[in-house]
Amino acid sequence: MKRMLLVICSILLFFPIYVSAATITETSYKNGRITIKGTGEGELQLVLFGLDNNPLYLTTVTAEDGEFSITLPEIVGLEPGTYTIKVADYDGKNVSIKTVEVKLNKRSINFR
Amino acid sequence: MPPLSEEATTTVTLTLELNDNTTITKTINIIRTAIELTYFEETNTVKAGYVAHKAYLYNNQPHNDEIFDAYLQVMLYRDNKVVEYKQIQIDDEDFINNLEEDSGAMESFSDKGIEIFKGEIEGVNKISVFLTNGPIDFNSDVLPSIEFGIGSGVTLEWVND
Repeated sequence: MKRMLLVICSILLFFPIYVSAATITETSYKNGRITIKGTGEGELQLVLFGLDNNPLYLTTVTAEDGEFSITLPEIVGLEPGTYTIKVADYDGKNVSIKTVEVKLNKRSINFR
Repeated sequence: MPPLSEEATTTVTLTLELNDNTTITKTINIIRTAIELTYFEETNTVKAGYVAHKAYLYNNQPHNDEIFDAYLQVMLYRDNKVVEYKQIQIDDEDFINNLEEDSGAMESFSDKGIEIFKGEIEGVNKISVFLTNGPIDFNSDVLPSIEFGIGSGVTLEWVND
């Protein structure tokens, strides 16, 4: 009995129960645009918040085969800082939160 | 879909032909809660129209923000770059409560149209809008449900002179 309990606990520990709620797994910022990747099912909504915590962008994205990836359009006036992204089901429930770091674009100058 | 001013319930009749060549006909009613956008070139403004279905939203009871609190989530674009975001609460209490039918439309080209862009930012040439139940609040544990709009929302583009 103890052995069986141990086996069940091990399975739960190493193979967590699959939850279909949307989850952000990766965020990045490149060339003035933010990319968000994650997992979930069906139609999801995504909100980017500004440094003042007001919304900057809202969109929906479809998770196919349990995954989604979206690159947002360029948003004018993004200042360097840490921005919050929330992804949820279409009805707004099961919110997943992650941040993205926006940095100044590096420019190279050639001296001749 | 018919013009917003005509009705908010669209009746669709489907006829299915079976393998034995017999047919089955079903009629379904599609209830709409929707938005549409119109650009007015002479004033450089955009108005939103809003179809509210009292039976669907409030079970034919008086307007109640706790049941449905209509908000427009508006994004303004200039050359496909987002330049502004705003949340606009639709002031629809009198409209809903005075509906004689179970549905009605605040037409974008009427006085009831909701002005969502007033030309306040130069060069704006695209707008996208979602209808949500409630505002987006950073401090909330949930986001508002999206009632209309998919992808990047209901989108309208125009050419500036």
